[in-house]
Amino acid sequence: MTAVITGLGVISPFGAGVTAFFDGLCSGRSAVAPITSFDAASFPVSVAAEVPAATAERWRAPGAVSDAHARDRKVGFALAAAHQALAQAGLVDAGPGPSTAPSTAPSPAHGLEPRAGGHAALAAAALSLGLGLETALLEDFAVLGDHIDWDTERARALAAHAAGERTPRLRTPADLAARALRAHFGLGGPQYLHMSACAAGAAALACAASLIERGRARTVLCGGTDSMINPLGLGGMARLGATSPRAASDACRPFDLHRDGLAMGEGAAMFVVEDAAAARDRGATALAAITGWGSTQDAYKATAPRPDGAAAVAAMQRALQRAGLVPGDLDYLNAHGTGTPLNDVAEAQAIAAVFGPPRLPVSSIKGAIGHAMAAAGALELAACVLALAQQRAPGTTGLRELDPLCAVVALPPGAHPLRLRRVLSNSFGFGGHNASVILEAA
Amino acid sequence: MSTATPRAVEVVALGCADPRAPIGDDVMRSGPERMALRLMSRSAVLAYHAAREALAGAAWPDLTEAGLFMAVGASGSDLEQLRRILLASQGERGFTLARFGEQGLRVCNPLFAFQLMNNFTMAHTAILTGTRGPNAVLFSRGVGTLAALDEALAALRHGDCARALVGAADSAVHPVTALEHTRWHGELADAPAGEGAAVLALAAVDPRAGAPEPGAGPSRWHIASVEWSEGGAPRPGAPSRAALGIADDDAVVLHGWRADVAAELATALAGRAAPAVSVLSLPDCLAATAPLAWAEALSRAPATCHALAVVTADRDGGVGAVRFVRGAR
Repeated sequence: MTAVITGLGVISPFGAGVTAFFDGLCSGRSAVAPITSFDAASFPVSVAAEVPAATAERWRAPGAVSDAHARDRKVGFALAAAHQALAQAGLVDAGPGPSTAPSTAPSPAHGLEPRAGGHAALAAAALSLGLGLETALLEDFAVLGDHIDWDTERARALAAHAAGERTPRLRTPADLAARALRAHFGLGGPQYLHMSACAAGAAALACAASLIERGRARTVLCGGTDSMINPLGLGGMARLGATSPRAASDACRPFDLHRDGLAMGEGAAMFVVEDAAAARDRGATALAAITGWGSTQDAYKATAPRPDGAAAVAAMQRALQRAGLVPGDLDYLNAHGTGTPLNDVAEAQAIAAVFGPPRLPVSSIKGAIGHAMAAAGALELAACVLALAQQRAPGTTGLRELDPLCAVVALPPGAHPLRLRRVLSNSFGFGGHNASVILEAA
Repeated sequence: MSTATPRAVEVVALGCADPRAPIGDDVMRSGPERMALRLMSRSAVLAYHAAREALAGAAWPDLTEAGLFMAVGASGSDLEQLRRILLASQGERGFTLARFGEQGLRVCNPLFAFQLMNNFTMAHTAILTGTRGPNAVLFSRGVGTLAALDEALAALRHGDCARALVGAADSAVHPVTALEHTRWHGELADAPAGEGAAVLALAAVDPRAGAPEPGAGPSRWHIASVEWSEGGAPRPGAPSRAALGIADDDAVVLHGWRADVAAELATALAGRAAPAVSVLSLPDCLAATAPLAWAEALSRAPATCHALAVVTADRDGGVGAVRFVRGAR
């Protein structure tokens, strides 16, 4: 069986929807700007590619039982992107999407009761979702004081639970977005919650294709959602030295000689994946086929990618082999391209090792929308789907002077008309997770 | 890497950090790994301990192509580090974001991030053991761990790798996690909180090869099926015995069950020919509970037992079963 994508939805720093997303990528503009979702003036990093405030507010977690739920931005992003994808696939009504009306009463489902009227296929649909870290709610931690008596806090929480009352949270559950998706859309199949950091979104799509291929599921809602643009997320990445120190819209410049780090991003991309024959039988339109995927681990260091890119090479080769392709069959490669000094050189070396002398057009979209962490791979695969559909590839926003150590055909900012039949997307995660996925025109 | 015939998968070795035995901080005090400790959360240490034991049993000569599939739980970082950050972020009127940005982050050890990120529960094991093949790290509170096993089986059966480690590590006693679960579920008297890890070393076997000798212990168990049903809303009701893949004559081992789920299981298992249903008394180690039960059940199964279904039920109401068959390929 062949897995095809029949629905796609995106919430990105360019706004809601695939049109805003891909037009933004192809415009050469960067969505990196001063942070507005919290006061980051005192932080070492004060810019990021945020989902526009109006969009984020529109898609706050529906039925949030507390401010904490609503503060986990990735929940609302996932719901909104999923609604777009499911509507395009004809599995939910293409109405206004998830309600933002807050629930006022506690309930067994924690305010995430089913709301969307959906297709019967959703009752057995699997969920394969790339998720980021829990969102730590520092203010809630802080009110507990200098010394936290955990026994007392547990006793309070127990009493509150028995009374059906809400209590402050210290962090959101890691799987909150998955719970929301399952409840809201009535997904009744198995779930696979990928936590492989920046590779999670791509891993989720690969997993979905595998589920279809081996007959484990007939319909899979998959993708990635994340936001680490919060005090601990942003601060932690800055302390790691991963972020660009420059408060500028071109903070992220993938493959550029003067690149100096990543810019944080956020958002979600969700896909409906089905068996090609089943999709055809029900009259759904296939947007692209997922034909190859491969994953490997660097097994090198916690703090740096394997400098020779050997494990990244193996991931791309595994994807090619699975798709039954040779390197010359590909027309475009969407790079992980974080804009950090170490990643881009290692990835360029890996690309050269697989594809030989520079020929294959390569670009990274992180200069435009920042690094959306667990959602990054999904957003990049969404860009690949749209590139196949529109026969144009987005360039590398922020790239001005190619680093000679990055010997790739890096597309400059803007839109690039190309004949695209087969494309590959790389995603490499902190901790050494490498994932490569190949999409082909349907 | 792709093979025409899906291959069977056999359990080669087991490794555990057992919650019922003392799991001291001396687990990794010797050897070069001690330098890695400062980057590792408690769960990451437990994961590595279990993986190292499984690898010792498997005695694989080369891990370059070996897969690693693990379920992990919530972030379990060192709270002393967080306390220091919050203390430094206190102004005259308490915590402020401005103070956090100015002072709090300065006292934050950058390496704290590697304890904080859930995926590093697995990543440290890859780094320390050198497994470089296919991988997945999946979130779980119990039944979700079966998804990690399912992914491992898919990779092994398809031929993406010939060998793989699969398991989970987690802690339900981390203060923040414990508090979070109290908020969601209240007190669960029938499942005291614990911590632990368990890892199975799995190998794909050629379906054309002859059957192994029966009754030779864990190394001769094969994984026949993995089936589960998620908890939470919407839960479609109790899974049937057939949906869980449990055969009529399987020995059944239950663990981690709640009273309501146990009642559903009793219904689901009613009418079986085989009466053997054992209940394991394991602490609730969240993601790690299921592989701890697999390891326990396989280790204790008598030589006369040829098919074994280990049933997991988690706090969210999820139920799943892994069916092990001895010597059948």
